[in-house]
Amino acid sequence: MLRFIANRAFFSFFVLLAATAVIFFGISSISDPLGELRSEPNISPEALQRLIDRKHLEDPLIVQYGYWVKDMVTAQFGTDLKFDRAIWPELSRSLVNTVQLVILAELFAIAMAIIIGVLAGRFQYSIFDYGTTVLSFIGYSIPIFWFALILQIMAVNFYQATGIRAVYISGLSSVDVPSGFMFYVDRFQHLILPILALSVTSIATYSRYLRASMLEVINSDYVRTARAKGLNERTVVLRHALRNAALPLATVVGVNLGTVFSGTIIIETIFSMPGMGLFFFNALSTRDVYSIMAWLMVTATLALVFNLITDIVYGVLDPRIRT
Amino acid sequence: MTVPLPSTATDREGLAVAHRSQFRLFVSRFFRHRVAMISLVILTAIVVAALNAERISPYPYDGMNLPAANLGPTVEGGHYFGTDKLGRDYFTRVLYGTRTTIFVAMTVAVLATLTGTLIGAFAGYFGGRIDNILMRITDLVIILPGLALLMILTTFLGEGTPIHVAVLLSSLLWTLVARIVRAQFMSLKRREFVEAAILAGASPWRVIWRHILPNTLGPIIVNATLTISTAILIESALSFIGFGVKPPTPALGQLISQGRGSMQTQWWLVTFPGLMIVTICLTINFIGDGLRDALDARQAQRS
Repeated sequence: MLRFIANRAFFSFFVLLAATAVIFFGISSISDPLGELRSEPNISPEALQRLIDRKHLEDPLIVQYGYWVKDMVTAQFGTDLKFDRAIWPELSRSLVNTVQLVILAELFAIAMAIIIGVLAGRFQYSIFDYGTTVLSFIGYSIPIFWFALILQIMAVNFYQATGIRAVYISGLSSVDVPSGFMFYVDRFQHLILPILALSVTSIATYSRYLRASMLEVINSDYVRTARAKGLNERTVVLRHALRNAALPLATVVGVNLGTVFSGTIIIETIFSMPGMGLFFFNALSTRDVYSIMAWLMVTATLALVFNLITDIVYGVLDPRIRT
Repeated sequence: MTVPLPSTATDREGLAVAHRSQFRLFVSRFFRHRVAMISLVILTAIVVAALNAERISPYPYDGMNLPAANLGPTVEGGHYFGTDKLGRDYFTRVLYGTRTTIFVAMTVAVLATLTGTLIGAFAGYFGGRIDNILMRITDLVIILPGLALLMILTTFLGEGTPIHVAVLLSSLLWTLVARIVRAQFMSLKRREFVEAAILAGASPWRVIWRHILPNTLGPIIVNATLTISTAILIESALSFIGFGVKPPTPALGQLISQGRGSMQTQWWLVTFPGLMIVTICLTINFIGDGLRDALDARQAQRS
């Protein structure tokens, strides 16, 4: 198992190295870092020249690439173009917030999917099965940005009708952040709507998948054996069927993470949450290529790390994979 | 596939039975799928209405009428979806937005399916190194953060026209078709009828085009259908955050984005375009499901 992880980590390093080249030359080929600034009247030619010198923009592209990689390794992605602000402090703060959101949303989605998938698979053709099937079709068809807006409308209406502030519709914490236990309550009140909006598609995808694999497993010989041994239904379904049915879900979750991260761009913009998505949105709006490239690098690293975790989880669940 | 079958045949007792082709069987199975049929009717109605927006609605897309601003949706007032802050009929605006959204999605489905089929067919038929290279490219595109990439591309390259957005979307959405077609080709190329065709001296092009491809059409069509709904969701999201179809061309995501500022009081500005997206995607997904069942004879018998 350890060798397997080490192998994968070693391989990931080269993938990341390739990613730096793809990102740098890709972005360089479609954009001119100074494009926006050149047309701004309040930037003098001298100021522009200073920017060019600072980022070595007159050197050949391959040299610029070298400087960029050096900045990334030694100076944590360096600074942005226009204001020379360090990129990493804001990016790392965003990263923590987004990882928190994604992990909570995915855990919620997996938990819901296991409940729905197990019950729908166990009671095939029941009303619950049909109901959740229709719901999952709606889950596939609903645009998450629209769902998020509807949640916001409902939350505000609820507040106006009852005067109870159950949830917040923007930000990550209240202005006067409470301390201790109330801090977590406050954070949860801010996160609940984004989590709901972000997990809709995942719940639909995972529960459909789990239902299908439950149906496959539940008619297999070893489940029949377990029943024949006289085990109670609970043990049969949870220990024998679910464990095997949930196995392929690990892969599905891993593949789906890209979609979830794309979703955070929209969700964080709507709920004004200071995360990776909002960081990226702002970087694109100001067309700061250095922030964009840093964001892409961090995202690529995240994707690899999550991929690695998925493989490890798979190894834990399925002893055959371990080599 | 190409052998002409007699239009009538005789069964074992010599009685004439009407010949039913694979296509007829498929059609009858699809029509038996009730949800898919209802969905098809609703979707057709929406598409026809969107294409004939100027004939259906008495209001022009940009017709301002300030005295009628911010009206709620009523049936008797003639504004079924209400009006926006400039008094423009919202039903009309949603119809026009739907037209753009459907145009983009259909274009994506066609382009992505053609690209994906081509790549999948090459990878699956020739195998070896070609397969390896093409599939690594496919893997790469799959793990890319799609929405982020599209936002970057539309920022630096895009003009925000529907066709432009459609091309960019297709450049990411061909991967699933490619994988499906590749898998089909890999298994079909070892079958006897393909080997017979190769031994008979058929060129690779002819084997692919006449012998293998017709047998993979089912999964391709199902996937193309589902691609439409994926494309609608992504295009709407892009247009919503301002990186997709840009004004003055209307799109559903854009309408939601414009209505967002006053959504607490004028709820209809956000609700109706969104419901339109949900309805279109839902019907398409049901149709895709019906097609899948109808094309997969095995499954139809089981249920």
